[in-house]
Amino acid sequence: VTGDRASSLPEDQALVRRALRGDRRAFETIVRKYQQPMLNYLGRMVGEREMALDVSQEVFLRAYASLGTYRPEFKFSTWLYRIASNYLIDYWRKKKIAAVSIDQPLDDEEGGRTIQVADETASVVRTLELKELRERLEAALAQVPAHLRELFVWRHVNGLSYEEMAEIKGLPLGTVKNRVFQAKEMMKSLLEA
Amino acid sequence: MDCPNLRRLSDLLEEGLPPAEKVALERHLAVCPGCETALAARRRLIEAAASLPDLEVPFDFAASVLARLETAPAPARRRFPLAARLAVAASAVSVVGLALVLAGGGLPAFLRLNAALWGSIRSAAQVLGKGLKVLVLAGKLILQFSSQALAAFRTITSLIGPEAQAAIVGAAVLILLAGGFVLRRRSSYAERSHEDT
Repeated sequence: VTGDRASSLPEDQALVRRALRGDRRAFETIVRKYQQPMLNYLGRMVGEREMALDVSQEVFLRAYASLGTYRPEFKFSTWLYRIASNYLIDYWRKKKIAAVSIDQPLDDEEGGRTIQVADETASVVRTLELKELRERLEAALAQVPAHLRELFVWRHVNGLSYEEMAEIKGLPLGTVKNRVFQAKEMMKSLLEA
Repeated sequence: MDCPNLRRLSDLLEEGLPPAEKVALERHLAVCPGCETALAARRRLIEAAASLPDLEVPFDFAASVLARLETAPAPARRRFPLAARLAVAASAVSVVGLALVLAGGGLPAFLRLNAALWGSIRSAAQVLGKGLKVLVLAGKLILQFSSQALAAFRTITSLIGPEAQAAIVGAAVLILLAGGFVLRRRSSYAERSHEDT
């Protein structure tokens, strides 16, 4: 399911080398390998499958055009996620959707809120059937600010590590962890509402 | 121990706690139903997110990307820094020279190669020298033009009052700022593409 879990550094590097020599089939292999995780990520970011397919296609085209700048000492998947994340910023800027910027400046630092455990015996997260919980989760995700949603999706849907997310976004590790925590608490509040 | 804040519970789920803290928290969870319930709810949220269904990728998605690549230029290869390229060139010359010596051409062959190399460098230096002369000439022309422009400016400022001068300067600054803003917006895409690297 996750492109990152599926990624293999030497294999990706070999594919990139072949694509740079003009072998478009090699790039097709790259697309096939990462199309599912990209769509899972971008679909949750733009909220609509058809739109997400268009955006995914543009991301792969941008990746192809920039392939010569890929540095093989880094994971290809992280490089691709960075291109996708930057593409989304441009995409929303063009659409003039300013309310949910994913390059939003920090509103918090390491540590975050120190919320204490409350009485959660009636929590719907615990009592709902998994199928219904997933449906509600998709709806709640759409309400989470994009800069938090992106990290939540990367971490818990795409299965990226915190270190990879920090590298992609160029953020301190603590900030990434704190934002994922914020996203989870926000999601839980939305599900309980 | 007191009930932890939610961040610690989250860290426990993400395996982000030091071993000692983890043990202490697990001991607390064993005797605190409230914290255990809160932890279970967050664990379930994570499990639900991890089991969200894949969005369906059309079977021809990769083919459609490839079709659009047909009209796209091949990706440009990354250029190595000048120093690296010079080092490679120098190494190559040394290797070729050594090979000639070893192959029986002996020292004369190596010297001939050396002479040819220096001849090329001399030609390049001559071209560079001519280029510099052109640059100096262009600099002189620019200086001459600037002094004439300055004289014209002085004549104009002597003809108009200080208020009009201030208005003209103000308008020029505004135009420059607006131009700069437009250029910055246009270049943002290029900057982002560069960041992708």
